Amino acid sequence: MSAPLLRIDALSSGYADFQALFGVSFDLHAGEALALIGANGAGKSTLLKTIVGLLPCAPQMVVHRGDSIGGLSADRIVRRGIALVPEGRRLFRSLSVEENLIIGGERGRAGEWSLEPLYKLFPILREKRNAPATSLSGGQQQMVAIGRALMANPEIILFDEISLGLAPAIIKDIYAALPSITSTGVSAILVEQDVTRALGFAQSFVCLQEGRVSLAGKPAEHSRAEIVAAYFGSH
Amino acid sequence: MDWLNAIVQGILLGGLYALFAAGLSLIFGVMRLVNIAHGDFIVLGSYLALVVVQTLGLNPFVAALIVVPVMALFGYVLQRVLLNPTLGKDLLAPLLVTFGLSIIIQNGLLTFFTADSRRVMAGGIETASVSVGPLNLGVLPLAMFATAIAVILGLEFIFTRTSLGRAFRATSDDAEIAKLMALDNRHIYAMAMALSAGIVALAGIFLAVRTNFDPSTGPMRLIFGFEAVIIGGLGSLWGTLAGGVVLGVAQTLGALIDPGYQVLAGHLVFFLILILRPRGLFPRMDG
Amino acid sequence: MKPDFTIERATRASRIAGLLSLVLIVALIAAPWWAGRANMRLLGEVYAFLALASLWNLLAGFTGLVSVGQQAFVGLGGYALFAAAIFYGVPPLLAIVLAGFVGAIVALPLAPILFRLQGAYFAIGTWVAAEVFRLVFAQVSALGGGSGTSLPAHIVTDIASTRDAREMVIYWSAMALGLGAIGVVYAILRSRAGLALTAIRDSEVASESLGIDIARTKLVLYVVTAALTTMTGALIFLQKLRISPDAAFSVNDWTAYVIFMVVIGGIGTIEGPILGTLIFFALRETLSDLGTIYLMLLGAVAILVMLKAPKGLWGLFSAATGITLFPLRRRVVSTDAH
Repeated sequence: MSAPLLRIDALSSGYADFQALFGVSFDLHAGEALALIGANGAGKSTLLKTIVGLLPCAPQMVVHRGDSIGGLSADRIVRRGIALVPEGRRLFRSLSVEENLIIGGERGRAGEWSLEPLYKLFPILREKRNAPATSLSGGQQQMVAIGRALMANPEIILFDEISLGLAPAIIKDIYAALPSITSTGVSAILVEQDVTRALGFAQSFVCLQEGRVSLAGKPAEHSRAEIVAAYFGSH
Repeated sequence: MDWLNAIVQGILLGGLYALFAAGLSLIFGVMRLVNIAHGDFIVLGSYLALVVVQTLGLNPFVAALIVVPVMALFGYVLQRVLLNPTLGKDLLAPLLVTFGLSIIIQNGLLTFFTADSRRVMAGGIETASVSVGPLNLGVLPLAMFATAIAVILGLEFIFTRTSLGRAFRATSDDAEIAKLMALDNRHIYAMAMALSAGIVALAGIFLAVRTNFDPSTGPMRLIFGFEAVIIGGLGSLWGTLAGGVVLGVAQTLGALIDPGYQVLAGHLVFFLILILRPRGLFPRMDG
Repeated sequence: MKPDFTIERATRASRIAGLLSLVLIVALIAAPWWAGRANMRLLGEVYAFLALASLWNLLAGFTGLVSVGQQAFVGLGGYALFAAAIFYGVPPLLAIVLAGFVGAIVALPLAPILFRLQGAYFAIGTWVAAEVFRLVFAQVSALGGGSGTSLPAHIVTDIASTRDAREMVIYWSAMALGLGAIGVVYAILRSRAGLALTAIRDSEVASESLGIDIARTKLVLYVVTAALTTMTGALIFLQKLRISPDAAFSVNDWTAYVIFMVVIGGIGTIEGPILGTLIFFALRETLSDLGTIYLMLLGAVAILVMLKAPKGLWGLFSAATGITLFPLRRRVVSTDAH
């Protein structure tokens, strides 16, 4: 297999007085969608935040296209083509829908994602483009958050709990849009509570338990029981 | 007649106070920083204008072409070197660092320029006036008011129409997520401070032409600007102009009763607003 | 079963310090017999600033109420003393106590208004309040208006007939007030309210959920601080025998210097303001010939401390040695080892 696009190598990280991750390692290959699963507090969000540079770590712990980028400032990592759709969406409340999208793309890379293709993907956003972003429904806000990340034309996009707090019908709509994102060659890491949905979408998975990798591989290679044990722990 | 005249003069004076306040309001809006040295920055701008006018023999308003960029650069560097490291911790660090800056600037100016009062001459504009009906309006106060409106329009344009303005708003909303838009917060904050210092330079030039100034006059300018911000309502640029006008009118009316009441009347109106409408006259809708 | 640990606050250093300070206090009480007049004056000034610094620190360092307007109460105290003595013939020492009540009565309605301002805006608001006081007292012609007034000679001689005796009495009053203020701050921080304060400083949200009435605690602290600051102001102007609005409500003299003392010494500790006051006076006595350069240096040092050692010099010392003189932190101590 070719060299990985992104290598996470013995990554340890956390907050000032609390370590959340202990020696996590895995690879993400070009064009691949990877599901990151685990119980609440397993360290999934911490891992995504560390990858994009919102939390510090040692340089060699995150390697992108052969460069050690761990601990670089977030703005530099984003410029390299790694984008995060944050948990809770966190749209800029004093910006309109369109401004949220524009600011996502302004300092990003060139590529096929711009306002037009996005409005084609999520037509409702065109209709609401001048509305304050936080006036939208939860599902629509999630579309803006995804769009905002796509506007930077990332080669790796990290999704943090994109279905959290949304109605099942909306979740279905959003997941229906994901293949048109990954089909453009974008690699993805998906953090998701709904393990079945995540494993159905991804080609590989990593399961975290209390800050350590408890199981990793391809969804088809592991039994449901095995994954459940890795998810909840054996105690 | 005296009353009408005092009110009109007060409204025009409000333009100067809005200039004092706009920079204060801007940096608070973007990074929640209150610059205790803001008034001393204004006086620093006045002295800079004095030096440029005296050494190059320029009209003070032409000197703005030098003073404004120099002050903006000063603001940018100051933010990156001294103020960015204080942000995000607690309230104390930025407050005390800018307080220390205030003392340094005041005493620095004392060292170089002594405590003597100075004034910058602008070739007659400071005494020129136009008659509007029964009123005699000074050209300088009119220019101050027009500048305040232009500055607010300019800030509004920057905030709503430009990439920098979007970055200001985004960083103010959520500094962490703004980084994910490839924004470098340190640079954005420094740009906000540069803009604030540029406006401060304009205010300093007007101050220098309008009245005598000395190194100790900064804190009072900070207080006037602060009062305009609070009276107008935090985070509202036009509110800041309204706050400046209310303060200016209160002062000129106070002075009409007794010259000793001028500044006091402004303070009392400020406290009155604080008691009656603690969020100011024009509070931000989303705030 | 007997528990095998106890909860202690005292440390070995604090016990030794307690003993040493007892000796020091006795020596200072006896100062009129061994120190010259100039040194006694200097010590009197040090006591006043010990009080101001400790009180400012109580507000800023423990409740997060950063005021740059404490000169409002210093000046108010001075004017209260002068007014009480001149208009009503109140003996000056009694007038100092009276000034404390005046300060509390003024602070009580002022606080809720100022508390509507958050953070740094609160700070500037306190400054505006002080300016209002200054401008109002400048209008009181019975107290000399803008140019101020002196304490009449007969009032001064009321304190004690000879100059030496007078200076002794004022010296001891200053000492009592300076050490008393530190004592009050220490007592407050050791009390239940002190625990609440630490909780507020650490997290307002958390302490609210613990049922601590933040608004009330802040109000009480603000008023107590105001009362003691006003008393200190009364004493300062009794030492000076002359008052004017500009001197009484000077932001530089009564707040800026005090802030530098606390920041340089170490904000949020009891020892910090004491150390800071001593450093400030040591610097002033040796460097004040430099004039404005000295003040610029002071500002630069304060900025440097704030950026590089936010806990101040005492914080550096304490972290390096583990020494605390005023034990606030409760430590769980195993009794097995004894």
